[in-house]
Amino acid sequence: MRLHGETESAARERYKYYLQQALSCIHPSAYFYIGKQPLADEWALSTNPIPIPLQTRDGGVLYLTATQSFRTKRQKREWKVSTQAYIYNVSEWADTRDYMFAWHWHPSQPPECHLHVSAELSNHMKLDKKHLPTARVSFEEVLRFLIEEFDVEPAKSEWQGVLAETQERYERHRSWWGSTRD
Amino acid sequence: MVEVMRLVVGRFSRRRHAEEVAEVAEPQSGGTLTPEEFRRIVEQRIRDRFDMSLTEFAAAFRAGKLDDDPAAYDLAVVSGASAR
Repeated sequence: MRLHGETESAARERYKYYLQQALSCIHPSAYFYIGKQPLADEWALSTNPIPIPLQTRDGGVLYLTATQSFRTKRQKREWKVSTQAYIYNVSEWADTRDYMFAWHWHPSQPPECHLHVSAELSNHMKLDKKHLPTARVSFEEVLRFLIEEFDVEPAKSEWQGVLAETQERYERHRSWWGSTRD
Repeated sequence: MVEVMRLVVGRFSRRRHAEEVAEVAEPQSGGTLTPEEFRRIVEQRIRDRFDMSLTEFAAAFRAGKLDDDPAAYDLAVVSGASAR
């Protein structure tokens, strides 16, 4: 993501700002915050609360954990923010250990974007430990999936326009979109 | 002198305890935390979930001992344990 003529901190805040816009579509008060990873020279985005409770139209609740790490680096005369990993876990329980879906990209192991699904085949093979291949998944795609397919109640009426705008921005600035960056 | 030391230690302990309770609280708004604030939050989450220190967690994650728990990946990303 390229951010022209900004300081590093402004680039970080703008990166967070658009993710926050997306997050506001499914929760009225949850927010992202940024911190430096204790064990690496990268930044992490986390949320409060964690996990985020999402109201469904039938009165139920789902729980979302959304985490990213990213780097900033100066290229020529502009700051670039580059996503290094993402974790989006969706669960029926506040303890997201028992997730339904988990979209992961944490390239140290394995390098490809993947999906974990809590499901079991008739031969008793469990899919939750399998790495189902995906392309790079955006935060907006996860939110749209939750609203449209899992009846999560949008937190604002204009959610479609907001997600479309932030998704368009993400697609315009991303440097890769397949299953792996390398 | 001993009484003075006890008093000082007692005050320090109470203040320290209060600080620890406040320090590990999640932030009240979005923004950027100091490295120390963020580290304390990450360490607290790891203690709450895995009863490990940050170092122990990183070693266990990198050894593949936490593969079954998606929360491990979440904490590995925020802590940097998953970084290459």
